[in-house]
Amino acid sequence: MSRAYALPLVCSMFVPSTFAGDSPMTVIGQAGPNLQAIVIFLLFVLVTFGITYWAAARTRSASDFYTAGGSITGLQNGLAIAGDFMSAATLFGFTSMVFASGFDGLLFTVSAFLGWPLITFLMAERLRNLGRFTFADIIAFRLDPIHTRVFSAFSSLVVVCFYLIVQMVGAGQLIQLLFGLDYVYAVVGVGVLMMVYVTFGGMVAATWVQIIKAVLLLGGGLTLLFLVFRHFDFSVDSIIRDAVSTHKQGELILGSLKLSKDPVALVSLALGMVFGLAGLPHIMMRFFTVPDAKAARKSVFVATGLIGVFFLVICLLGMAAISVVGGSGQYYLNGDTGGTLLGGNNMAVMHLAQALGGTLMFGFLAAVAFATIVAVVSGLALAGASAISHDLYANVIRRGKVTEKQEMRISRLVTLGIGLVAIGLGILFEGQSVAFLVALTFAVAASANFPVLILSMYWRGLTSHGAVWGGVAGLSSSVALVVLSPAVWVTVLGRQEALFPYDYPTLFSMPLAFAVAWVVSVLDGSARAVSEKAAFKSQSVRAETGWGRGEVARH
Amino acid sequence: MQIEDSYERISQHPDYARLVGKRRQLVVGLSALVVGVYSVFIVLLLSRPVLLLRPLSDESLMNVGAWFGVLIIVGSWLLMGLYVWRANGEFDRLTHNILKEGRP
Repeated sequence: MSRAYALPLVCSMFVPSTFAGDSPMTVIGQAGPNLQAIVIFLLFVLVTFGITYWAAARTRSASDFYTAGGSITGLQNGLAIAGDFMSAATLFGFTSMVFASGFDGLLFTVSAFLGWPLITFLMAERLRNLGRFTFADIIAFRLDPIHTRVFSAFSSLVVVCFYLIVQMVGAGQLIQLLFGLDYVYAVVGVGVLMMVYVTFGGMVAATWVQIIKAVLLLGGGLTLLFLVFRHFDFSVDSIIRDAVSTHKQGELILGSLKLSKDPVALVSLALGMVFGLAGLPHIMMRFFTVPDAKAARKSVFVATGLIGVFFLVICLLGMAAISVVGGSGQYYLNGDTGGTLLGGNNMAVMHLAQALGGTLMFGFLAAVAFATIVAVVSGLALAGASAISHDLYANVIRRGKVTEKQEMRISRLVTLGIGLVAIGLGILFEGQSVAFLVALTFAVAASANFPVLILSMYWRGLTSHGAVWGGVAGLSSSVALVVLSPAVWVTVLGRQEALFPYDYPTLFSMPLAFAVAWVVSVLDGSARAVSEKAAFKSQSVRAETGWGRGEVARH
Repeated sequence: MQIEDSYERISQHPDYARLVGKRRQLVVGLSALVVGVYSVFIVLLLSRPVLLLRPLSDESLMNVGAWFGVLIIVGSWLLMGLYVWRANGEFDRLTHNILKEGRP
């Protein structure tokens, strides 16, 4: 029972709108296209196009394209990292989780937050000192550059693709819901905007789009929080009191309703969220966009602070929505407060905006949600493009013998390709239940990318064979276990009983990846393995001090 | 080979061992603290849920569990601040010395 409950929770956490067939797909807020939202969004597009035009003149080298030439300041990069992490889905998913079950939502938020301090302590320094454009740079530092790059590029692309599908399908549904635009137009719109930003403006444009959106999203959240506080006479206690008296579970929402009933699922989920973060290519990439290690550390600190504020705001918004939205039949299908919210249960925060800030606040949040999806998709596309053009094309196919001009031309073409693929996938998966892909994205990142990355940084004994086999074991086991889980085997494929009882595989697939990497490395007696282990010493000098980074940073 | 030599020379620098040791101590301590506090939260939730439901004071409705959650978010961010402060000051100075004197 608890498992069946926990999955929709997570899905709703990152997926903008419900994918269940029973959710009403009508425009909410008002009838017909939402003019405020469209005007605000067009303003955003206008400003970001201006920035892209400006950024295009500043995107001359491969390093400009992938990492903005390391020219982003710590504060700017902090905002951009926060933007990469705070998707529209976080806003809708987290609030709806608190709205549905109170404390369980907070528990979730805390677990999702924890990855940030941990990657800062364990990985930030080394990522920065060893890497250049992609996290494969770090793995390939002393290991076989061909095989490890093929693997890391492939598993990055898997993560990027799954996440893209989730974002595109979410975008289509959300925009249909909030703007009254047709699904296909919305998907094509997101894809085309992304292609314009990234192809012309590269990382500079993608970063500024992300910064603007992060400011809008935080600003929108804080404004709504202010409206909430005004409504509740600036008292957190009265928010809680009204929530408890409105929610049908009453005081039970102040404790864990269901998440704590299934410890294995809870732990597996938490592991996936914490370590999945450390394996998301579009987040890792942001460590390379600042001029030095000082700025890199400062930017994660700023980002984490903003994310923390955002999470706390979201918990309060969710609690407030319980009484403001949950107590009023007008926001429910057929006016039934026990049933489904208009537009699906993820729309709690939108209804809250409508209730306290009227159509203007609603339109503003809707526009920000659209902007958010475009920004996150741009970051993903850039991560995918760097995996293909930097790892596969420049380093594997051309063995590093490639000019900047050629590499950049390829990365621009690849960006266009990724845009088309994203649009295609968005249309292909229209109306499909893709929510399981969120669990899968994080599980693959935590089981395939993270173990290889952390072992290559910290364990002298890791060899190329160990890295590739360990990564492949993590990748294939996480995909296989998700396919056999209730979310896919039963919900998507319609079989009677799941072959694997848990929706989150990380508790099993991540240790498997570590174990395989260890066994294969230990058994690897080749001459190559010996020299790879010997090279660990130079690598740790570089990892600790950044010695030699300057030389390598030039072609 | 020249590059290998320079790595060797850096690792021989007296400040190198200090830098590595100090940073390791800080990183291990902070990570253990963050993971430890979170684990206590989860274990209490699973074993003594009633404890977390108790309000912190008579006037307040926010219970121990909610405060605990907020504390983890704010506290781990402050610990990050401590790390960034030491890394950007003390550790960067040591690194700077090592790299300056490590050049041939």
